[in-house]
Amino acid sequence: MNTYKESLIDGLERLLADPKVFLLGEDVEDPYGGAYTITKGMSTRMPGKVLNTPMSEQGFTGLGVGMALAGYKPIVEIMFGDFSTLIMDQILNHASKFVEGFEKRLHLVVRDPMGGYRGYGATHSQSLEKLYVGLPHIAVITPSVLHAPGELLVKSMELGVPVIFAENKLDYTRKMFAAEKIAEAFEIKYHGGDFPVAEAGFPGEEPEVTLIGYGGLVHPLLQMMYDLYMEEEVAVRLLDVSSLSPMDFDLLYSLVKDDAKVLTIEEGHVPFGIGDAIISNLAQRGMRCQFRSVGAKQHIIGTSKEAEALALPQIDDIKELILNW
Amino acid sequence: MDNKEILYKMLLIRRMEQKIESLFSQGLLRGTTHCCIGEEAVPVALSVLIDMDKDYLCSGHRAHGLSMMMTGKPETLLGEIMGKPYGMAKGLGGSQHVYYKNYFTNGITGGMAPVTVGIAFALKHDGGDAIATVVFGDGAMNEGYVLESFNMAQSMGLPVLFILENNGYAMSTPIETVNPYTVFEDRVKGFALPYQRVEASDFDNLFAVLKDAVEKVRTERTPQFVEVMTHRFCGHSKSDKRAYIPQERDDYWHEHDCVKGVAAKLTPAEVEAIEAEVAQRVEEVYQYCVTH
Repeated sequence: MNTYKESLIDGLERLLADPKVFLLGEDVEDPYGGAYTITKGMSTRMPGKVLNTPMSEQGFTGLGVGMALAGYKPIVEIMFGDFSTLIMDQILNHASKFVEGFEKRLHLVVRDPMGGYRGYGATHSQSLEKLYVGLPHIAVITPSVLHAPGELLVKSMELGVPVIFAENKLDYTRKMFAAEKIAEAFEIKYHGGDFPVAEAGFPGEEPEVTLIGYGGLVHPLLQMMYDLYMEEEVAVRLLDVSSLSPMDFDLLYSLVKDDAKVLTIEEGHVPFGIGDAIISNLAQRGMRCQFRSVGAKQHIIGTSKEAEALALPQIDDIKELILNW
Repeated sequence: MDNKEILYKMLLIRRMEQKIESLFSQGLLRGTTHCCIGEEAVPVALSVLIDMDKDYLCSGHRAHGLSMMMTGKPETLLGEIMGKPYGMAKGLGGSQHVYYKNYFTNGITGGMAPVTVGIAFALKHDGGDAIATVVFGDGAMNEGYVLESFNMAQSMGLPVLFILENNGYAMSTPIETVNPYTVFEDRVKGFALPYQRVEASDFDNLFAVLKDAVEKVRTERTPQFVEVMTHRFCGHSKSDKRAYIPQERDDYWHEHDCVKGVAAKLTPAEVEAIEAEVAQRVEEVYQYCVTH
């Protein structure tokens, strides 16, 4: 698959071939085909399998939970990840409780497109993964241009717990990294099992800083790393995590334990976030190095480019931070 | 069910609930509980209308009666509340979070309504005549996703039976103080759901209405809604002294008590024999649970 979107569509179609799988969401049917046209054509090709819902996120997520409780495998699409605040009750107070309380494997994936940098403003730009991480029996999976979304989607459906599948809206327009020209300068390794950590670095180079990130920022970070390496001769490596929750902190520790500088990067707000949790867990395992975390600042995400930049992390700032560290 | 069996089941629920309340007041049980004293009629009716081998039934926090009727084993309910490994949820769920076969309860008011609609979606695609039923109270009628569930069930045409037990109070809040009416007919019909209303006091009538609704959902594969007017003789939860319930309302419902209605169809000797049988069963359950 050359592109993120192609991979995602392929994963969806593979899942939908199972009679127990249905995709439910707002405006997913033709002719609209979803807000990002991911499901375009699917309702025509597979009648009855891709279904428009009323604008009732709580209700149709609950519908998905019930389907899963009865042995079906629903894919629930939330149009903007921001709206996943509405579904918290069904995921946390229902689905996750049924897994342990009722000893049920629930096959349920909530597709939850996150991310900003598109001028969509405060309620259509957030990265809210952190609301769902760290909770028992909820998985948070983050594809990227290094982690094919279609592959992760198919595996997510087999986890047996409700999955928040945090796609990224800008990634819908991007190639998978292997198809990018700059990819040949990199060495990419994968560590771990079904939901691996991708390690991107430059062959034969000792990295000065290790970045730990995920999701939609992976693409611009890889470009930034390339620029730093080519223009400044600064080698940085990136660890791209595909399962935020549960996170394999032992694996991460084994990958960074000898490093001197670790920088976590997320699009969501920093305090009590993904980076903080990673740093805490590395420190608890005895790691002594310099830690920094970058993410959104304590502002709502404004619509103008300037206002958006006040809140969302900027690649130039990350570059400066690395160069001056 | 003949009247003796109906009375036995109603009394089993009531006396078990009274036992549970008494154990709580003695400090012998942990956590909280929500009893259904006065609301025994729906569980007893569903005990024969729902086929646990294929149908699904979901409910919320006030579900001891349903639990005992579905399992037929009150030990597994009391055991659950006591945290025993043989409890319905192995002691993990307590009073509110239990399951047995296709029967599930959870502690969020109204939250099982969309879940049940999802189950109905699955049952519709399975083919067959199994149905999904959800029982909730009038408090749940103001949770947004419950109303979303009505809309989805009707617009998607799913085999789900909604049973609203209207006991007049959302915890302590009288229904008329937070709604423009005291029955939900207009609201339900606003979702184009077929609606029937019945008082729990006349069990035969209640049973006929529920049976009709079950059969319609089973054969027509579309939703039905039954509002059951009922009353709670106990507090909302273990610590509730019911200061908000006027004496006249209690008086009315003592006259219209579902237990009284069934007992009136039997001889005093028959009623006494059933009371004795129930008392013995409750004691057996209690003894089992304190010794196992």
